Amino acid sequence: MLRATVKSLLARKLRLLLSALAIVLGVAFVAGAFVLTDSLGRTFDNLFTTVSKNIAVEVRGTVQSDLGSGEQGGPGSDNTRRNVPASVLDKIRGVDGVAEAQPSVFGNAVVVGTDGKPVSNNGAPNIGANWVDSTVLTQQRIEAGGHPPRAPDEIALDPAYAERSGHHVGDTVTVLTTTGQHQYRVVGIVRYADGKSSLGGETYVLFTTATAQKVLDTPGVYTDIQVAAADGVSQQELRDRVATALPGGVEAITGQQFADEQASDVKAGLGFFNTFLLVFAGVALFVGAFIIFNTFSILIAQRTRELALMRALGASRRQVNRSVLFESLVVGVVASAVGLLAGIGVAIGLRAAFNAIGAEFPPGPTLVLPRTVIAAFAVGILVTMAAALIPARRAARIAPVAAMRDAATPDRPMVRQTVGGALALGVGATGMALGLAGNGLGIWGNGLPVLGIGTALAFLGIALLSPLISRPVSRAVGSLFARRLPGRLGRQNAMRNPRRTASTAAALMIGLALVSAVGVLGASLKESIQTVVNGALGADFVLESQVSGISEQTMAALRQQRGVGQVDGLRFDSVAVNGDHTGAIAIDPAAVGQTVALQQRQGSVAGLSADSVLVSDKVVTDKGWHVGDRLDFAFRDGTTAPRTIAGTYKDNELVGNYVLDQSAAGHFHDGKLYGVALVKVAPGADHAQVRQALDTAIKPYPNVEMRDRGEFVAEAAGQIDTAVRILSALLALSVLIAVLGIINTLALSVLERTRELGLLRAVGMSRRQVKRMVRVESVVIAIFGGLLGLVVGGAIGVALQRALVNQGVTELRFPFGQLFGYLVLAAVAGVAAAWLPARRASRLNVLNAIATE
Amino acid sequence: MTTTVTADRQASVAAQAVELRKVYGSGQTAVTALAGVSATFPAGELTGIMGPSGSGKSTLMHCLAGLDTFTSGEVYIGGDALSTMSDKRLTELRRDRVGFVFQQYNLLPTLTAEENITLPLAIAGRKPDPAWFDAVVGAVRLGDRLKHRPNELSGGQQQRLACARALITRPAVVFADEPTGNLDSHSSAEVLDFLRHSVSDLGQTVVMVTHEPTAAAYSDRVLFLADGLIVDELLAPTAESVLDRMKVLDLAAYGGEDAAPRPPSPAQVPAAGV
Repeated sequence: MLRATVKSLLARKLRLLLSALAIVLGVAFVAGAFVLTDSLGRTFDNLFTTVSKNIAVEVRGTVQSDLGSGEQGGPGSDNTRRNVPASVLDKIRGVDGVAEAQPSVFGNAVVVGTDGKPVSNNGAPNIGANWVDSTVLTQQRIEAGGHPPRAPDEIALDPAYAERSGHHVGDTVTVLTTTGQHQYRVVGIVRYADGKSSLGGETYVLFTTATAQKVLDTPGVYTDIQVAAADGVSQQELRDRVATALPGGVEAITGQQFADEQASDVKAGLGFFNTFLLVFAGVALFVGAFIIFNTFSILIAQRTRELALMRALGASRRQVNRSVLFESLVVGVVASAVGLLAGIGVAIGLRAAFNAIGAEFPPGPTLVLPRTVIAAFAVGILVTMAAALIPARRAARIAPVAAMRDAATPDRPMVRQTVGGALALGVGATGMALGLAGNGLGIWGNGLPVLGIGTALAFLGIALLSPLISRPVSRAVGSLFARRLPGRLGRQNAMRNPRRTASTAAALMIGLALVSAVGVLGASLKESIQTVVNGALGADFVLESQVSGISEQTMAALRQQRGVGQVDGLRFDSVAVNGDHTGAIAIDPAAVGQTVALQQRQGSVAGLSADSVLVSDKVVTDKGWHVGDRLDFAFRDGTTAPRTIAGTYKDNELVGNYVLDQSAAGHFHDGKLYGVALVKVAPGADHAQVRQALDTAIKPYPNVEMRDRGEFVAEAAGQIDTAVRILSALLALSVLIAVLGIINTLALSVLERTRELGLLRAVGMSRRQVKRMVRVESVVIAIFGGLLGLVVGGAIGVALQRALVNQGVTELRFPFGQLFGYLVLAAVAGVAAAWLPARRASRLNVLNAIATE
Repeated sequence: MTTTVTADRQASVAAQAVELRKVYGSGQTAVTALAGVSATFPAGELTGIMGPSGSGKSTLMHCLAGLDTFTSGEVYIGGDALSTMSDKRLTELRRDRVGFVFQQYNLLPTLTAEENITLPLAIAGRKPDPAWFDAVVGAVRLGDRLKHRPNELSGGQQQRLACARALITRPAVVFADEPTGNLDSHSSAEVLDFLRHSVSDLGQTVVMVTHEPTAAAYSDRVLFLADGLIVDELLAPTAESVLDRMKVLDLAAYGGEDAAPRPPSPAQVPAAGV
């Protein structure tokens, strides 16, 4: 039996090729994701270990968890950490076993380019730090021809940054930091000892230690201190000794712990990336399962006589069942192996591609962990065999007598499938609703896994129910092509097996539904932003700052311009309200109704004063507060103050939940600087002229960016478009697999209808007409899948919008143009999928086709 | 040996084969299916082609019908030479000027009886002549089954349906390959009656390959093939005369070369078998 199975498998390997390819693609995605993230993780591991290889002990401030308990933490870290007082350095140097100790000051610094704007760095950090004068504790070295910064106005730059900004040793540059901008002379180019400009794309501006402290807003303190050990002293030993010399608020960890911490931060990020990729790989495999199911179903139907013969000759049901499952096992194993190799190749290729577009990942190993290999095979085999379960059962049910006669298989009743489908859809939709509401069913921390499983079940349910509408929809869609006979025959062929048509179309539906849902959500988000901005912004221009805030000086310059009506600044900071950590803004009450539009709900929003606060509607409802209630505010500088609620306003994404008057800003961190400036044009003034004036006014302040309302919205819209594009690209693989499925089904159907094709050719149908017939069948199936996808995707999009209404997606919008475009794409895919099967059908040898058995 | 059989009627010629040769493969593995067949099929006649398996009768029909290419010689359908035709023209020929009835699988299961009958016209994008359509449908007696699917018809009805389809374009010639091979005697009789009727009353020309003497008896003339050559011809055949002739040919085939009879001239053929 085994031998017969293997032989029959080999005979039909071509027929299984396309469906195996679907699994290969899905497994490649999975394997590629793992290999890429594992490799990058190991690379950064090695990197951080190398960079801090001589650091025995790292001394730094403890994490500040309470709000308003004193000093601020260093920028660039998620947890705010306290700084290290300068006096600690001498104490450490006095500890026995310390070979060397050097202080570090870290912050943000950006070079202003020759065009007056900050030199962009594609999002990588712009590090401003002090030059660490040690060949042991730092791996950075000054290039020959320069020297490290020694005077207050001297700096060193990393070579990539210097090149990008167009500066050389000896040039004078302007550098922007949180405290403002100053001019410096470039005295050296600094690189890592291995020659690289940076670890992963970040830029360096190095000052002297004293300058760094001043300019990065850490006077009299250091960010951290690195310690090297004398020979024979272990890291742990030295750490313990150093720890005893430290005051409260300062801690010490070993160099290895430090390196591990840094690596694990990066790896946490990679972990998210990995999960993200795996979700899309999962979608691809889900679609692949459909393909396998279809292929095996069709092949079993075509092999009815052969299988019936086995049964007639004495094979038991179980043997037939097992033989089909064995075939699926072989397909799964082979596909997984190929997919694994392909995935490794994809990971290598992706890394090269990222580097080509400037991501500058450090070189490192390509890591294929055992976990990756096991995952690849497990996933590939599981999906293939699971999909083949039902066809295998059907094969086992073939009656032996079917070998003797050419009975047409009667249509199986749809009852069981309909009930099953309705059930799956119901459970799935419920799961989706629960998942969107954040319900983890007590098993998971958030609702995402529930949402995922619910969505998969819902798709399955719809796929099971789709044969019910397959015929009428095919007829309707096919009527576009039914004017002449080949098209009519094509349409009929799409209609004649509703299950097969629906099953093939369902694979396409999944990909298109997800793409449509993403499109609906994106369009809704953009529309919401537009509404929010229009509803919340009374100003004509929005000015935002990079690196440092907008100074009072800048504001004055803005106010001086002709045609400017009102200029208001917003300041933001973290606060604690009645003990809860949240955020608040401070504005001039005169801004309310002018540059800041607040839609009043209760009380009076005009009544903002030094002892009151305005609160958003949703928070007031959530907390059960009323106008007149007293709230206790705690600020970052340690002070507390009570405020009464003067009024509430409709939820406003721009402004947040709490609005204080400008006196509160005195307690804010960096309270003298504004985060955002809003400019309203005076009535009657010319918009374009005012804009020009403002542009000139902010020229001396390179940290300030100005946008008008339209640009502001367009910027956000642009980011959403990019996200939609990326998600759609990731889903494209699933669509591709579905198209493979259409090619597969068509090819097998053509094979099945050899005699009919022979007859048609004998009776005078031309090759072109035969091709058209196959093409129409393909397009009908594809459009059916596309329509289903759009409808289901639209429904999912609506559900997502409703669920996220409180998170800012207040509007619902269908991007009809985009959605129609997807439908057209589906039709085009149908035409493309038909190319090969149509060619084969038209090339049929007529005589062989009509030969009687 | 090559024999040329000519009819001395003045009627037009529906189809003609001239020195037709068909060789499969080459060199050592060459198989000669037709060794130089010449035959004329006058219009308005039912011609039977008979012979043992491997005689080349199906190959002859496929070549005559434009379904297969031939190595040398020529085929004429109503005056047009097939060897000069591209695949496209051959397809058009089959669509407009030739009718087919196969032993089985003649019909498209997704089409109704009526749609199956008009299939060649639909392929050409033409509508049937209503009078002719009625005549054909009436002749096969399927008027009340036009809306049915093939799987709702009996074997005999399906074959009659196929015959109706073969005639709908008023072809120059209808080729029937073992049309009664899968049918019981009653259905066979119906199909053969119709073919006869189409020739005698509707003016069609039919060339029928068969191995059944009773079927051959419906013909005006029977050609006998053996080893890729026409070896005999029988006019106004009956089942018995056909059987007798076949016996003779069989013995000749198995008895060796010296037992082969010389093909008789038309004048010598007895009117009825003994």
